Amino acid sequence: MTTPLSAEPLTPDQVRSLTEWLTRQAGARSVVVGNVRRLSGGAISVNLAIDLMIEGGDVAGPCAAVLRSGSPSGVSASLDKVREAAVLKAAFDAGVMAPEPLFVEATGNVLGAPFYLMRRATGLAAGHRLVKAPTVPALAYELGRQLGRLHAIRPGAPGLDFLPMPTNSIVDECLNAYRDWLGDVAGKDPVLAYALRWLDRRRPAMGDLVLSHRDYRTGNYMVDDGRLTAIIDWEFAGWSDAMEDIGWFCAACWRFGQRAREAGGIGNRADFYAGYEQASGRSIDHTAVGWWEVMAHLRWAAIAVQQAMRHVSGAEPSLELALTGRMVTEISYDMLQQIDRMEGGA
Amino acid sequence: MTPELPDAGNLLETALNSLRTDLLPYLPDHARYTGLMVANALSIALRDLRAEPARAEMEAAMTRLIGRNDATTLCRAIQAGRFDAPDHDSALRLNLLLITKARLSINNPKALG
Repeated sequence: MTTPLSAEPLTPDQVRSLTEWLTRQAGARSVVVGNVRRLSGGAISVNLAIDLMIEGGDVAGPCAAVLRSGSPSGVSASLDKVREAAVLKAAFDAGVMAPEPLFVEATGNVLGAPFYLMRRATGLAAGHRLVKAPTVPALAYELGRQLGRLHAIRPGAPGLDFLPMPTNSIVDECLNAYRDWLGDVAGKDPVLAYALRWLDRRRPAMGDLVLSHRDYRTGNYMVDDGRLTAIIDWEFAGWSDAMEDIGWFCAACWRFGQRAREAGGIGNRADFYAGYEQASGRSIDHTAVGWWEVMAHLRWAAIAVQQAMRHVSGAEPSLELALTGRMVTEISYDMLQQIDRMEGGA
Repeated sequence: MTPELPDAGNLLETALNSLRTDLLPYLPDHARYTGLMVANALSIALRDLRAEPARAEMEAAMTRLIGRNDATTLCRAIQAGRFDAPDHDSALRLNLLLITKARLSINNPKALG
């Protein structure tokens, strides 16, 4: 966002070595790499839009692509790019509207870091803009359906052996991870201490362990003219309880101000649920989803605390990170209200 | 100590007004987001400076729960299960909501609805 528009995202040497590599990968007579430009959303990954013209080979013709590589300040919880591409392929093969991965470079020898190319979807991802459009029931339904298809992928599916299986219960894994992310703050902020305690005491029955996106929310899918075109940002994918993604999608903190539209600020819960149940054949566990919504707020609060610490510690001075720290209050407020609803508005 | 004129709150408020009136409307698109973040940061700092009543509410809520204004002690009591019983749990939640609302009056009053 702060990079001047004139800065070239790739050096001439990098373009040359990318072109040679792509020509070999595509089995092409020639490849032209053109119109390289930076895309937004690069907190964890670097995303470049690239227009390819491929002569010969299996994918001959013009190809609108995105090149995605890791950023220097990778988040420990995120997958590396080669694994992310494998998840993308598994989802794509299962009929999920994930961008089709095209070529994967695992060595880092071509551009200095591993990367992959995928087909570029059209449309808009920005959450604060998507929630301003009139609600389209079919969009919430379709987002539910896509998640249902993803959740048909179960442990043991081919090509995903690298995804760690939870060793404890998934609840313990989440609570331990977020307590760890919060560090000292877990013992200084009573609302966060209360959420950790409440989630532990009120844990619901767990359901099926499924391939979960783990950042399935408004802002991480693309919409063109009211129609879903792609689910993006797969770097946090892993095995989890099926209701976690649903709680994350519906949590109040991801509605971008459209509080009454309980499905991600873009639609109704009923439409989203109906799409999910139709595609997955699995019933929504309403109590579990409500509980996962509390967990969603705790997770987002823990991420916000980490971001604030990156600024406060001096490691990465940034006004945006500083302001994220003050957002913890709003997340806490939504979280307490959700607990209140779960406890019958006592 | 000699009182400074204007005080810190007045300086912040005046700077914020200049930013909003004389700078923000003229910023090019690429700088607008940063300009809005600066305005937000100054607004929070200004409300924080003038938050005596909000701090008094937080202190009162904390004192109702554990007899003194000490967040670390409250956290320890929560972790030890001292508020697990249903009536203690609802009293805790009620007071945590009051504390959070008081903090929101500083950090993001719009979220109070």
